[in-house]
Amino acid sequence: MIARSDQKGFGFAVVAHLLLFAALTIGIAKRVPPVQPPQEAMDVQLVDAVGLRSAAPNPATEAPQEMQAPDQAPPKEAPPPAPSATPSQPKPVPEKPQPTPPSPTPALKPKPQPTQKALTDILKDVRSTAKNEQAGSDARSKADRAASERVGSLLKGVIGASAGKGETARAAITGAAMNGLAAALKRQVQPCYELGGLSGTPAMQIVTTLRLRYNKDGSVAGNPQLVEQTGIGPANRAYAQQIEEVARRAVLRCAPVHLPAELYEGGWDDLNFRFTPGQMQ
Amino acid sequence: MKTWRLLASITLALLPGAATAQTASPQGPGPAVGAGPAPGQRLTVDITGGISNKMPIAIPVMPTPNALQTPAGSTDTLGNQVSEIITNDLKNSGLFAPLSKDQLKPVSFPQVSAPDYGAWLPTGAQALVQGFVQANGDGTLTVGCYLYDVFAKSEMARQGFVVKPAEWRRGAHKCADTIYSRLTGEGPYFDSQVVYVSETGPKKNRTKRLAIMDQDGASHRFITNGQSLVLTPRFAPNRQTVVFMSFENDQPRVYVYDVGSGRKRLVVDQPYTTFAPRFSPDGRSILFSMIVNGNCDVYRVSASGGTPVRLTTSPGIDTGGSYSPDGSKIVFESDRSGTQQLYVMNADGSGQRRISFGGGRYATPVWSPRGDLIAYTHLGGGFSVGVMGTDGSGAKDLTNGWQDEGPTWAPNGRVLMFFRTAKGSGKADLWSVDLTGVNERPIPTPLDGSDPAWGPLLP
Repeated sequence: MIARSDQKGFGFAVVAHLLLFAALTIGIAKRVPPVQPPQEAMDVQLVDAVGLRSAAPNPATEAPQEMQAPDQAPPKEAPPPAPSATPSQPKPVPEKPQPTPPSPTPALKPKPQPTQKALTDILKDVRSTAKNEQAGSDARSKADRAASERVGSLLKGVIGASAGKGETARAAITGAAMNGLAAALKRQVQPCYELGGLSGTPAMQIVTTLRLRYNKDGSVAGNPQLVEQTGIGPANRAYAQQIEEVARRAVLRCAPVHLPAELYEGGWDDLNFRFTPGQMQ
Repeated sequence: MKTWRLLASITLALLPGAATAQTASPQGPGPAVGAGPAPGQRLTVDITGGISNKMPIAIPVMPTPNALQTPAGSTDTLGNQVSEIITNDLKNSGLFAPLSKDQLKPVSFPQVSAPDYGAWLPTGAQALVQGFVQANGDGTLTVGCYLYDVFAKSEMARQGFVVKPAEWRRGAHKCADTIYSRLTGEGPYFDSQVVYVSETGPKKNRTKRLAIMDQDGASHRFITNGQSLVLTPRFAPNRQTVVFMSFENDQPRVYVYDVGSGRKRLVVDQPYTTFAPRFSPDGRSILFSMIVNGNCDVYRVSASGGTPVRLTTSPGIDTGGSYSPDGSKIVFESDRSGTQQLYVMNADGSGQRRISFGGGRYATPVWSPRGDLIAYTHLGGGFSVGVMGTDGSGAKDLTNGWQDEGPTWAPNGRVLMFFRTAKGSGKADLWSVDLTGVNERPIPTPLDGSDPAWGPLLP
């Protein structure tokens, strides 16, 4: 038999536990850190086999949601390319970008400053929307799934729109399409990455990143810029310039590249190439 | 040699593209006008695994502004010969694939400094070497030397070399060195000489003479007459002197030979066998081995003579000393452990420690002029030439002949020369191999050859 006082105590304990559970549930729901977007939305996977076209999203299945992107991230018109500077001599960007007809070689066009929101921003917005909608729900994974669904359809919509209208749409290309681009660029540039006399030397430890702009016709615009070199030490410092030059030569020799025009803006117009002379560990 | 004049008449101009490219791209999304999108936003393409190809390079015939006769021949003929020497140097390095003659186009004198990039693009040449040969009023010749990047459409280097007509080949080697260094990041080595033992006659009665030649085999000359057996010649850093061992009067002794005067003198005037000599990097002293009372040790003596200083004291055979390029350390071989192995000690003989621990025996160590490696002969199943770190790490045999031995370093520490003895006939030849273990190739000599020693780069 349970004593009366015990029964009271038991009942109290049950209520208290329920309250605690409820409080914790709500608290967790409120305090759960927002679903983290992928650290690098455009992280590149080496998926050589991915075809560019097939990597592009299928036609949107949730058409109405397409409009959310402009709402949340109204794309602004990119200023027209600056009167093109000579490819080899970077010219200070004019104070007032003159509206000139787009040059086929916009060597150093100023990028729109308050440009469309970055993909990460869009992801953030979408995530917060999703979070609001899902507020109170304890289904964290559900929110996650919903958010990613929305991002997917959102991007599908944007890419469809931009492709159709031929507008600029930086940040509008899906990660899958980006992977496809990276794979295609790798395929097209790799054959020109010839090390010559640097092969087998300590120069192989130096990783070189170049920033490169392509023209729409696939030719290289201006001079590739050195972003960084890592892995330089006393044993290979003498080779740093040469290992940079073989990377530079690779992109120049294997040009023009052949890539889908609809993925140019925000896709392959402005890229980093990271050259690792040795095989991946 | 003294009259050699080398005027870097035109300063080396670096690739303009490279210069401007050093301005690192803006990394932040800051307000810098012209900045690209935020770092995370730009697609990064990973290109992993470079291709090990020889670099295609075009070296057309060098024109002359005025075809004039010189003691070395007509300047237009020289232009042809200079481009051939450059072609051979770069080809022999194993790192370049010069275009064949039928792929080359004639270059006019004005085009030398204004290359027609478009015409070279279809040939696949990545680099273009142009230049000229000009006869000067004072009897000298100028070899102009220009290097262009065909795809970047930019000049990478230019230099002019003024030479006496008799030394016109050196103008070509200097140009080849300029090209090689600029494109590989390595030091130059084409304008250098080799001293070696030229051999002829039957196996049991070989005539051995010292000979000096350019590294490509040209300008060959004998410096001893072959009356006494000679071994292990080594250049002094100033290249005016060679130290070697000779069996004159049937007594094996170390001699110093003055290349200019042809005179030679005994290094250590003592009744002991002396051998395995080598100069210190500053040329002031000579390391050698001496057998005293049946014990062989490494000694040092001033290059001008004097009392030898004993550096090793072990009861075994210690020999084959070679200085590190800074003169602070010496690598040598010793059988104190029971078999021939490599040891390193301080220049005063202190701190001796073994560095070779692989299977087999190790001999004839030579410290690289870059200081980073030691080349050796590895006596395992056969004889092969290899390299290891100065602490013995990363030992790697580079050749695999029947009997490869006696390595010597090119002045840039990238190429090794050695001699290979054929099985049976005992016939020896000079060979070279790249430090990466590729491009093993014979060095042309008029007779058989052994014991090469690569001299320093000529000034």
